[in-house]
Amino acid sequence: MNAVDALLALVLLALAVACLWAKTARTGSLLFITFGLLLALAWVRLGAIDVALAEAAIGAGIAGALLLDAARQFEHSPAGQNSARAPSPWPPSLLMLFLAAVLLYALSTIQPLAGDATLAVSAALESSEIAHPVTAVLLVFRAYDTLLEIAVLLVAVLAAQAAPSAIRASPKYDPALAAVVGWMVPIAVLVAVYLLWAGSSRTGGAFQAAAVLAGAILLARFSGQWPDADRLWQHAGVRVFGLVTFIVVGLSGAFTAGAVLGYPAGWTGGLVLGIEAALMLSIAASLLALFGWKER
Amino acid sequence: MTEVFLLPLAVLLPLLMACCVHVSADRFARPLQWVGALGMATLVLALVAHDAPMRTVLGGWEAPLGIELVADRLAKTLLVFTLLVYAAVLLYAEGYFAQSPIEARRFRPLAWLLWAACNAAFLSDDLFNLYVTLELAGLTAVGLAALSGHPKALAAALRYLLAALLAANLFLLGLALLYGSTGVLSLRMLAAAVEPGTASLLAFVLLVTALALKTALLPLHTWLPPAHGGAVTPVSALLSALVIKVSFVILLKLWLHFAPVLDLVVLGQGLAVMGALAVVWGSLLALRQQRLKMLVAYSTVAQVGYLFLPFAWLRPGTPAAAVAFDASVLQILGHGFAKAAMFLAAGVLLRAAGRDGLEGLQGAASRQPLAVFALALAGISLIGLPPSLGFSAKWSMLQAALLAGQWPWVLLLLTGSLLTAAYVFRAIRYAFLPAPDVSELRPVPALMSYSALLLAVLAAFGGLGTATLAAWLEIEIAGWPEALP
Amino acid sequence: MSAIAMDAATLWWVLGTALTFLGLGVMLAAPALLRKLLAFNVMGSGVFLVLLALRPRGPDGVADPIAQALVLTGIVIAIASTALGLMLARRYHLATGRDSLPEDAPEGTDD
Repeated sequence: MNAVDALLALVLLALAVACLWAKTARTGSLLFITFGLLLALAWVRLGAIDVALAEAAIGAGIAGALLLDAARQFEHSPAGQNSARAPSPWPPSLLMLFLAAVLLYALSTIQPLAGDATLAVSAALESSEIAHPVTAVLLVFRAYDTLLEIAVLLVAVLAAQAAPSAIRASPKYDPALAAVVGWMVPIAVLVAVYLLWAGSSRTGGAFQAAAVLAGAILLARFSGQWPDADRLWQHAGVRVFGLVTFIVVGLSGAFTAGAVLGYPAGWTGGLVLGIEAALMLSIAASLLALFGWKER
Repeated sequence: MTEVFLLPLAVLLPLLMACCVHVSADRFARPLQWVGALGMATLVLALVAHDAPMRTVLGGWEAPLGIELVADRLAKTLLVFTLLVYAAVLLYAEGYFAQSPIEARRFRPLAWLLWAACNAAFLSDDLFNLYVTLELAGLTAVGLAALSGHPKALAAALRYLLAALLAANLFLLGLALLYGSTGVLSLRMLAAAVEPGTASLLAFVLLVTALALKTALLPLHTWLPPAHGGAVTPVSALLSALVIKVSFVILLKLWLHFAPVLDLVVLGQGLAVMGALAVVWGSLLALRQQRLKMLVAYSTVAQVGYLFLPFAWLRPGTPAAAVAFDASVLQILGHGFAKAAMFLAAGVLLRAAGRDGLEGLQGAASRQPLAVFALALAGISLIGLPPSLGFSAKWSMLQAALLAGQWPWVLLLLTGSLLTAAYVFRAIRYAFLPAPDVSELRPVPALMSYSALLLAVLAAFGGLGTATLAAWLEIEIAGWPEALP
Repeated sequence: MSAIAMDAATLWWVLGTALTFLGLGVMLAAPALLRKLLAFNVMGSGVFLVLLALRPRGPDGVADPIAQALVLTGIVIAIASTALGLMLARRYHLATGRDSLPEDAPEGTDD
């Protein structure tokens, strides 16, 4: 066992403890972001590069940003009702230790059937016409799961009633920020498109691209530069566009490929890219809706 | 060709509808919903008309690589059930939200997403896919519970969400153990690949605990009454009638797949005992309620207990198993129709009275006779009087208990019915008292009462179709022998 | 306990177990909503670690692609859930000033 791995594991555990016992919501959120970034490292050590990228972008980046945003609001609550200040009572430690021991024992008895799934995927990879195994699983073999997961994201946006009714006034036009943003945004968009394109043959994909894109749009919003474009992103149609595209392509597969969510031979790469592009737009719009939530 | 297209469409059509109503202006959304509902009805009828079990492999990739959808008789029954409940609730909602278009706009897409989630769960044969459908249903339900934005509804929705999140992680942990040890996710392949041992038993216990939490089985039920009782009425109906059934059906499917492989006798008895406690405790709590919707919500806690009783008798190779299976399905249908009807009727009465307390119902029998009648019919099914679905369910449970040689359950079934009768009478009693003079009842669209009545009639008279249904339904999973004549 | 050399994967599912129950405990015990959501995420990360670490790797050291896809989907669902939780918690906080739920379950609201 590698000493670096052991150290990483210990640091992760320590960070988790520190994060959950943090005195303030803000500290907890910051520690959580650090935890997420180091966890991405752990995924790399486990050979899961795609997961590492997603963990960093989504688990640490987006989740962290949402948590910090929320923490800022919670810090303004009246002292008497702010239970975040009080140290959290000891969790039912004995019970947890016992259950952990049971799980550890059960895990130690598992001898996984060697490499079954990996073999199955590599065997089918060629006929899937997608070079990268994880992308193949996400958008070809188990595309149905991904479709439903996008629906879940839509639910979160709808259920939070996060769709901003109207942002009254766009932020003031700030020339200094606008100058910087002026070249940062196009670069970010290029990065997003690259991530999207790369997803078919190596690590990348719609979600990571969407995260970058959403970040770029938020930057643009803060500089007050393109108010019309901003309003376009808030339109309900953009949020559902990805899911609708996915469903329509999926249903058409019944006629062109003999199965719903199947792709006709030779078209897989193009269709998958198209779906991912549509998803990127919708996910970015959904993320914006979640961040655009304003106290009313 | 039909199979290939229809099964996924049962999930994808409601998803499309949700997207469409989300982007449409109000005046288009309403007719659009009727088109969608009609489409769903045609779809479900086509599925039911096709008698043989149907199986679709999504994308053409067979398990263990891909995901399969299976429409056996259980799934078809549940699809019809969902369709009927939704038809009534959507009708009701149009009347209910007539004066509040903002809430209607929030309600519609979430309602259709929930329909998609229910169908997806009923049709799926893949463990991870079931997890995703569980999450879809759960988060949608939380969003619906918080619809009104009132602080109390928000608090209830938060409690609901935290319970759902906990359940999600527990489910994933069980899944991790199963997938980790076998490398497959398809239920039928898992059942073949699983080796009895600590790991697989622990995995199953985790899955069961997660699903019991989501179905609000005692003692994991505390999140339910505030969420179901505090939501707007159409949402309460959907939550009690459908959402908790989703997690229960997943549990039932898992049980049917794994009982031939793992030794689940003790677990089954344990679940049944908790169910019995839920029946008694939930009914007692319902008796104590001062407000109608909370009474109905606690009644759900009690009726969920009945759902878990059959696990005591669902053992492969026993004559009681087939009867117990029928009992579960009948209880799902009976409680679903009755509880939805009860909430919808309660909503009509409360809107008319203008307040939530039971005393406010005085005089309702003469002013809102349809709603009171619906309430009474629903009560008949909950108590278990013939010819209701509730009666058939409890009668099947009685038979299963006797076939399994477990007499004490008979006592519980009797007690349960008595307690249920007590709180149902308590709820209805006020309606028959003469109204105090100065009470102005607000007008309520008749449509709302009729939708409640539709479901109530299904509940109260559905028992007449039991014999046909029981003969048609069978456990179509490997390891369960044919039902004895 | 003798010095048993843990194989690489074992270390990670042991960590996963630790994180799972750490998160579970805090999620149950801590009253503050934000803390519960953080705990939920820590618990989720733990479960994902267990899931992925159990599966054997491919010949080139790459983790099982199906397991990776499952974890990716799980991460997205977790963030959707967290986002929803945070939105509800923030609206609740705006309305009541509280950052935790009251001890007694509140009664149902009027229709």
